[in-house]
Amino acid sequence: MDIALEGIGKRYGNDLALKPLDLQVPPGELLALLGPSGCGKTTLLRLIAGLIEPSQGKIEIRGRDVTHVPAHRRDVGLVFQNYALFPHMTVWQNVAFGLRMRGMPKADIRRIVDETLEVVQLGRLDGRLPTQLSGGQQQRVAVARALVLKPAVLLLDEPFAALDKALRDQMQIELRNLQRRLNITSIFVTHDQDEALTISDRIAVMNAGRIEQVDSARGVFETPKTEFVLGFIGQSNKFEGRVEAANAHGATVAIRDWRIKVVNASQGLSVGDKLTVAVRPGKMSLSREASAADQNAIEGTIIDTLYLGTSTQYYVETGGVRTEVHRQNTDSSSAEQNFAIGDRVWITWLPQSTLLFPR
Amino acid sequence: MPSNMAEKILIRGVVIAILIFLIGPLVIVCGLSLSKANLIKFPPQELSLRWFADVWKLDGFVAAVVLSLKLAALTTIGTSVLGVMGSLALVRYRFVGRNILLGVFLSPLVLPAIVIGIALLQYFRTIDLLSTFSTLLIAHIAVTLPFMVRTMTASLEVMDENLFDAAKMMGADALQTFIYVTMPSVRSGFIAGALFTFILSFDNYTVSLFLTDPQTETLPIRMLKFTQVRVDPTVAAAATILIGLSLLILLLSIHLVGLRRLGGLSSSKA
Amino acid sequence: MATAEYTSVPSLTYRLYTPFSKVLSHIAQKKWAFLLLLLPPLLFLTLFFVVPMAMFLREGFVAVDPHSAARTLSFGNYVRFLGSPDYLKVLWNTLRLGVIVTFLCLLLGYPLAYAMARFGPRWQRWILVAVISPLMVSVVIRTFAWQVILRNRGPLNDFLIATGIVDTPVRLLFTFTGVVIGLVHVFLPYMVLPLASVIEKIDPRLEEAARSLGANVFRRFFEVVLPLSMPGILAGSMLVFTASVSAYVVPELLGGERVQVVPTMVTQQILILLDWQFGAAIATILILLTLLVLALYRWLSRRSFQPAK
Repeated sequence: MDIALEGIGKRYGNDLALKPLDLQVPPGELLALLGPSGCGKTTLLRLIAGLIEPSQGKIEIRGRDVTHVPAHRRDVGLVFQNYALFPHMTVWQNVAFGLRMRGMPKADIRRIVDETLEVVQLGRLDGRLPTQLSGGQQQRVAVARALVLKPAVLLLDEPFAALDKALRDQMQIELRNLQRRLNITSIFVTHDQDEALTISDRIAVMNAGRIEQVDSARGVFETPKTEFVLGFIGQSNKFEGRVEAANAHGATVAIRDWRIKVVNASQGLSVGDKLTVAVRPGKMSLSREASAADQNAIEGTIIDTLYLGTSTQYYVETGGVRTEVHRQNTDSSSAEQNFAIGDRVWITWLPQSTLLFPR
Repeated sequence: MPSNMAEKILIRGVVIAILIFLIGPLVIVCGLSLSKANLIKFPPQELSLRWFADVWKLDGFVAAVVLSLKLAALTTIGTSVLGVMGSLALVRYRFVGRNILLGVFLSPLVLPAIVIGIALLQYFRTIDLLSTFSTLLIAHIAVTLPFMVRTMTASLEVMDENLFDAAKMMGADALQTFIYVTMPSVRSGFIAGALFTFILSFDNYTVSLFLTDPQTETLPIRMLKFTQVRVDPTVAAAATILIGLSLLILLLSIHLVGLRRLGGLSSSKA
Repeated sequence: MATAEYTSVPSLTYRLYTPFSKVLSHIAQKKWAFLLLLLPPLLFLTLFFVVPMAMFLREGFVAVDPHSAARTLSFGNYVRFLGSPDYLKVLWNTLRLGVIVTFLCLLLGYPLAYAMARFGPRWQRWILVAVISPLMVSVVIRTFAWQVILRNRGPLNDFLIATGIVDTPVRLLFTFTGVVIGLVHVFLPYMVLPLASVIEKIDPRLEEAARSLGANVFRRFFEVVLPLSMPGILAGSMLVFTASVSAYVVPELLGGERVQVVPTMVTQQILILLDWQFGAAIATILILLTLLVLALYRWLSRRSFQPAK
């Protein structure tokens, strides 16, 4: 493991910013810390960087205990949210700063800085001041400045927040490529789930000082462990349910008048358990009749449709609850399958697509 | 705001008149020094530069200039060091009583100079340990320190805090951060403060009045004595030289800091 | 350590610096580190400002027995000052001076500030230079200039007589009016600069909008610009007023014995009459007055930022 956090917690007075958590990051991984404002992701990042001291717990970087080691001796580089480039220094001087502070001879500095600027493709601009650069260029300087000390870990605090949409997509890919090329373990903080899903190897979803789940993009989307992760990543339809029958292979859950089947898996359900039942809109289909026994089905009336080109979103009133169904507009959806407002339809999905959370 | 020609001309005329009021007296002093006759009369009948040659002969003038320059230079150094130290402590650290202490540092601005001067007179008479020059220096630093603190704290407060963290991550220690990050960032504020301190000290009259003695006279005090003894073109010539010096410093200040900032206006127009 | 990957040897200066850096970092981590920065200026100010001021103001509460030189706590000095109509007249004179000078500075300063903010960069530049350069010249020289100008046979009177406005020279030196003129000249920049700073921040489109709605010059000024510039007016007025009532040089040189204000009186009592106690009491009254104005300013500022009900 390049990074290992054990029992890390941080409190400010009575406020528990980070509840004791563990995290392990293998070498070369690009990990996203994802969560809403105030969830503690930036605190956690700064803690790993060494700008904040933990109230409890241990941090190891490449096997070395760095819990009480100051930031500049931890072998980490940090890219700040607004880049924090020294405004009175040129690009070259900004990148050279860390090397200068360590007393490296001038000739060596020159060589290394030039190399690093090449890596981020900023060679021509080394004489410019930060105010003369675009947002994307400033970000690259910040990355170069962090990389020049050849850290084991690269940390980035909402690196794309200050960029506009089009530039953001491009810079995300660039960062991904750079990280892969250098094979440098990296953690970046974001509140944008699309960003996290797009470029990271794994995502750590955080909420209120806790890591709710660490998993790949597929993992947090298909198998969210908590209702928070379910709600934060993608969309879902939620129902209140009660377990009516359960055995080793699966269970039957009652949602109002309907009975749906679920795959029990490792949940250990017993009769009478109250659950939140969730299904993602993309996993649901519409049909005009109740279908085969191997699919779950609930009935409702379409109250609204939203045509989005690639897909269509249907809003179905199902016994007092508004359910959303997303349907790809492929050519196989033949004319008679175009549903309209007022149609009575059956919403169907596979039992395996049902997500369950205790209430 | 004025919308038609008449309004425009009227208000511009008023503005120019007021500007003449502001600058006029200084121009008149300069004009007096150029008069050939040994009279204080404006406008001068004939022009001559002869009085400028006699300026150096004015009793104690050169000594006073030298003293004031020395005093102003040392005051600037002292106030700069103490002011930067105090401002750093007040802005970069959190501690109990921070706001009250800031008020204490700024308090000399609020109190009448006359009272400060008299109080220091009494104090230094009681202590009676220091040379006159030292007491003058101390008084000047005490009076200029609040300006420096005010300027520096304002500059430090608008600095991006992340710059300090970035420097820390790069391995800069406290001194390196100060030299390579902090000071360059507050350069304009510092230079403005230092220039202002120099001028305040060089021109200071009220506080210095109570602390000088016949052997240690600052320039403003000596100048005043000249004007009380005899009002002749030589004195006007001395005053003109000083006005010229002030203008030079003004030009230097504009070059180093920028005219808008000198006037207390924000550096970018809203 | 990161730069273990780099095998170059640090420069000589750095190697000499390293032990000092280590000590510095060790100290910087301590909770009391900031005191190293705070204490020198604080001690200086305490020793050479706070203590002298306290010592001096304390004198105001002391009565010295003329025979035994015994010192007792007493409010006698204040009673003496506040109980005497002559002394109160001086206080009143000083306040009057402050108000008049402030008002005139506002009257003259507002057009300058407005022009600076609205007339374009060229005007701004020249007005700034004209306003700032007197600040760089010693008050002694500025007062000297006025001494010359206001004399009975000085340029001003020459001009007034030559143009037929008056027949005989107007007496301006050693009068209240002369002091007012001198003070307005000295303190005008203190009104103009804060005011300009505030006016500049007022959105010019507000005035345009008012104009397009039919408001004439006066209404635009009184209902749009003036209210919005109130913070600047308050700031400038506070500065000018407190400076005017505390002013010593101008009243002393341009007013002489005929114009009695509190600062000159304090000096008189202490340096000439050697009554330190009485002088200190008067000085304390002056300071209280200044603090009162400051408090009033703060209160007014806070009030004007409340949303209108």
